[in-house]
Amino acid sequence: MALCKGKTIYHTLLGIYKQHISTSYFSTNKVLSNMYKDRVPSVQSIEELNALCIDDKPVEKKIRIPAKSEFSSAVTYDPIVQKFINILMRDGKKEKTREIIEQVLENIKMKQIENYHKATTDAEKAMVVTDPLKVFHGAVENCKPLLILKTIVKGGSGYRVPVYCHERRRLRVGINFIIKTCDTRKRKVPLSTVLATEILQAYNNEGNAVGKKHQLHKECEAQRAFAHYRWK
Amino acid sequence: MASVIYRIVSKQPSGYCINSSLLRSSSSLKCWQRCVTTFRTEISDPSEHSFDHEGQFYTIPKKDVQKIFMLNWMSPHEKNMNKMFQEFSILIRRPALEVMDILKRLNYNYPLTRFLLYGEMNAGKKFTMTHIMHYCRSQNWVLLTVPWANEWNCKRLDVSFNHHKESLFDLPVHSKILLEDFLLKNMSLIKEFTTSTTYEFSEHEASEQGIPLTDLISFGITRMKFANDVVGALLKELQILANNDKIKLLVTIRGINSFWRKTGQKKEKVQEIHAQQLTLVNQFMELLQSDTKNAVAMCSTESWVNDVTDRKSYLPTELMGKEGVDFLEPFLPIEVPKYGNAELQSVMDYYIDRRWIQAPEAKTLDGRAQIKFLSGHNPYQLYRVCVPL
Repeated sequence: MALCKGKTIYHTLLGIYKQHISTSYFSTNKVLSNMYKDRVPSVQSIEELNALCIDDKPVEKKIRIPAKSEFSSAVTYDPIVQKFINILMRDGKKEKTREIIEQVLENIKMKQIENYHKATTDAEKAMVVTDPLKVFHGAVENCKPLLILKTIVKGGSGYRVPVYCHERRRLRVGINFIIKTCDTRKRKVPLSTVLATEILQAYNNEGNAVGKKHQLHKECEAQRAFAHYRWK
Repeated sequence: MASVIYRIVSKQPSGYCINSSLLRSSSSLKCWQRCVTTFRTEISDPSEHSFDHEGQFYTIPKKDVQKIFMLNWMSPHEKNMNKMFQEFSILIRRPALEVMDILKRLNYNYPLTRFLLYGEMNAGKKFTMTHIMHYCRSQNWVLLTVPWANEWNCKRLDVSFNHHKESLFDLPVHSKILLEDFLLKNMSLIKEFTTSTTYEFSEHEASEQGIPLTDLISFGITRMKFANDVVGALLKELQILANNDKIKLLVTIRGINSFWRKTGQKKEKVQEIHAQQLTLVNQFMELLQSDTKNAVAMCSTESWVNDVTDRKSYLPTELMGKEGVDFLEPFLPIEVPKYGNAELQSVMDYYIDRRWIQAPEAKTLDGRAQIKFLSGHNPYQLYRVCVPL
């Protein structure tokens, strides 16, 4: 409790000195350089690019580095696929993961097109979905949970409480379910074939990845007595 | 019925070989224009194809695919396409039509003619070969194929010393594969013929005169020790039959620039084996330089044969070297160029029909221009770019 009082004094002092950051010998504040301060978002459309080049002015001396992003206005771009690639990547090896996911989409497409051409009647052909991105989006949506368990400490002990969360967090949890069911150590088959079968099953609400979501929902129901711990 | 697309396509050729550049510069053809209505034809007999069908697809019937192409000729990429689309269809292009035009007007009393196909990587040399093989099979020719000649250099299977000559090396397993392939393709055409002389394989074993050819080949398959000698005997028999006007012969060798390279084969107490020290290579080189009538040879130089760092050049003089060009001369060079503008559009129409391109953004004019730019006019890269679409 004594530490808390000192904390409040420290915070009030910071509030006074925030505007004037001094570098004298007696100051206690550290001068932190904010590396995200001078950054500028990358150019994201063709009209912005053309707008930059209207006047032939000389370039400023201070070059502003844009943040790294894979955005492109090409036909082959999809934001959820890029998120999947970033989460699957290890040790910064992006080319390798990009090749794996290109193979995954090809495997999904090959199976579905074969089923489409083998079906004889029009009604059967309408049931088959041949677009690999639609299957991908549908599988990720079926794996997203509605509630998440969060540990809240109350009275010295921790309780697992069901809680709502942001769309970003739900996406990440859903993608992690798919990856962790497929990426096991004892695997003799390449990762792309295992991922393709898992994604096709998740599109139809079957398989192990969707089973993990159902297990999470059951645990949330079991802990529903502690739901009011969300508000202190 | 497939959707009808009206597009104006000029009769001017789309390739970059000598013939097409001369035709393009002639002023009489610049005013002439033609309308293409569909990207497919229903004519599956390649002897009826003419320059009017350029830029259109035709399907090979399923029986021919299983008999001729399925086992040893098609790569896993082509087998996937066959399984997916439930058909095997080929684009009709100018180099194949030129070769077929020559074959219809050739005087077969003269000795062997040699064609050499060259071009950049993944430009379509193998598909022109399949088109010509399908044409020759419809005219009942005998097909002798070597699907990938660099296998003799790279794939390490048994190596043995030759009985008759000490400096040469035998490859029994590779020659067994060749004989099995030959039997399956040409079984119905060789039933009547018999051998003309005796062949001695060793002191105790020999084949007699007057045996049917199928028995000779099956002897080579069962006794792998003498398989390489049987291949030499078979090539001599085919030359004798062709000289007597009984059969017509088509020899296809893919990757002929591997004949003048070092191999990776190993044998105890032997340091390095060069490709000129293999008996299979020597046997085929004798066949190519012989004076047989009623025979045609079709070869291709591939840059896949070299190492990964050495694959920029695609011209035959750089790949074969001086020895190869001196050996093969005189030959007919045929360039296989990349896709032209009209061919690109018809290929994209075919992919839309077969559901390889599905996104509605990709079917517009803007989307097609993006795909054309990303692929670089390369046939294989066109397939790769459209994977996520």
